[in-house]
Amino acid sequence: MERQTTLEVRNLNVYFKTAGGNRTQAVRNLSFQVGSGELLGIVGESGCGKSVSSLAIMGLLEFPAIAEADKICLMGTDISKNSREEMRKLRGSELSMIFQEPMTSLNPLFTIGAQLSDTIALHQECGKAEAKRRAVEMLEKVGIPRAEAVYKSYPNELSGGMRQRVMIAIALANSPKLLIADEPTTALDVTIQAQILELMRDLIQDSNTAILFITHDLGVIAEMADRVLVMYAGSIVEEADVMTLFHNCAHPYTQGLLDSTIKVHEIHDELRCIEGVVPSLRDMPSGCAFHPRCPYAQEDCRSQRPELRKTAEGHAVACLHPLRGRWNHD
Amino acid sequence: MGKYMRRRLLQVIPVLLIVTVVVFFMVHLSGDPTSMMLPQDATQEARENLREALGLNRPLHVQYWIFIKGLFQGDFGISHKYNAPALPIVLERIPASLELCAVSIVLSVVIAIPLGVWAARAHGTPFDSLVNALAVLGQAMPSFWIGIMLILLLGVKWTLLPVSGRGSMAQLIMPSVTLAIGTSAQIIPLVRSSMLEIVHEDYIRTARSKGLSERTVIYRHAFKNALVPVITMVALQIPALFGGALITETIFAWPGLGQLMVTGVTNHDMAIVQACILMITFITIVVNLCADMLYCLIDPRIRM
Repeated sequence: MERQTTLEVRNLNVYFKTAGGNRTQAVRNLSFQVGSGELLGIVGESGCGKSVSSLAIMGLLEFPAIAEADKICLMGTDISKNSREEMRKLRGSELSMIFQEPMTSLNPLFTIGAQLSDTIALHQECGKAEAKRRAVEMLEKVGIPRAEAVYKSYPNELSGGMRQRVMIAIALANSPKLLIADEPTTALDVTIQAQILELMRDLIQDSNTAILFITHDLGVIAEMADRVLVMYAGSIVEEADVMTLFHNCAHPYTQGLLDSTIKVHEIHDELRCIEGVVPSLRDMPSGCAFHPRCPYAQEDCRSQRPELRKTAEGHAVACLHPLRGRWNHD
Repeated sequence: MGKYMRRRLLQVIPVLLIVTVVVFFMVHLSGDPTSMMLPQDATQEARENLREALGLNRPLHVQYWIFIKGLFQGDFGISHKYNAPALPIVLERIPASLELCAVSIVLSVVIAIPLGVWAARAHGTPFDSLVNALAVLGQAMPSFWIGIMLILLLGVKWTLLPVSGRGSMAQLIMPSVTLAIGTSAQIIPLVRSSMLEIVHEDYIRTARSKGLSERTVIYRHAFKNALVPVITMVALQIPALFGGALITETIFAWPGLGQLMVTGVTNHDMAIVQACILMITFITIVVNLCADMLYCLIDPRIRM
């Protein structure tokens, strides 16, 4: 089935202004698209520009961060040149977001009900009583028991998992076209994590919402995503559907990430990891940003920056010497 | 919340008792009141007689016991200067103090909160620096200097306002402005810094991600969170303005508690000083209780 494109991003660049008028680049020429009902995973280590990119799409970046893009099309309309007010109207209705930290993402001084019904009343232009009715309905939909009572309670009376359910309810309250979930389960313990993921999967199955799912947990990606973008140092290094990524990845960084995961059925003497750390924005290596950490790096990797190239249908990689054929994950 | 308030109310009793001890002994150990009541050349015998009559020759703990017993009967002692019971004299001054305190607190909150919020929103701009500089200036200027400058300019040079006394609205302006300048200068940096801290909280980002207007985000979601430290600060300032506006009240001949206390001290009028301090203590406790109740109303996490 041909999916309608919900979001198309072309050449998104994010810079941070530093003292002295210089700027460092946090996200470089990010281009991707996501269709309605599709779940696109974005993976990478901390500091790869995942969250910054999502905040840029939401129009939530704050000074000193600046975003520039050739276009960011939401349902065919370019929103990259939108005014602040136009972006504000889109947020919460067409675009919405779930954040990593459920414990601090809700305002401690307002009831759950107030925080959920204000976004409903704002975007659905309904009265208070109607907003409340829809809010309670939404709380029930995200699996909160005693929704009426929870509606009147404060965030400090709820557990982390419950708060994240509330955040999901807020994000989905106005049936957005695009939902960005920025590590929504990272702060939760494993059993709650599974419940939240299941809930998200159920909710999106019923709707045509496109989802950008940001995480560094490949297990979550395997379970949730249709397609995956692997980001490193502000750029996409590999893009593939989830099966290809796990069974036939082409970028050494993706391979490193896959090797770093723990497999239950294997006995590990020591946990594997990718040597070194993500380079700082001020100190980007020349050529391929990954070459200092790459076990396969060759001379040309130090001088040439690889472009994202399509290697097969739905599979693209930014590597001068991709792994395909030389290495197979199976 | 009811349980919490009951507990807080019960805590008032020991606090008041401790204050009576401190006040009583400080006043009684600070000198002989008969030196002020009798002429310089009075004989030693006359002095002894007066001390005997006032009960000052008895042991201190006995005097304290008599003082406490009197308090429970509403007897704060006799003011030797006014030759009348101290309590009514003190109570008579309360409306004046209350008026000055209320007007200057309202004024300083009205000045400080918008300036603090705007400075935080304009963080790093010249406006922010200007507000900061004004706050530092306001804190650095002593109230007696502000008072005198106001009198010189508005009272003497331009004769716009009366320079002293109480009775009309015009007479209230200069003393309350004098107090409000110092107080708002202390509240502004607090509002600014707590707003700056709160606008970077995750829940503010959530509020923005819901598409709420910047106005709602700042004035509803952020400001309510910034209020708790501001209430603490204002609650601290109220007793300070109520009884502690000694200098301002003296400069403007404002017949308030502060002025009464200053004259009480200079005349060694023990009953007046004790009654004033106990009154101010009582008001401090009441204001703190009100502040606690306000915290409870604002922040559900305190309602435990």
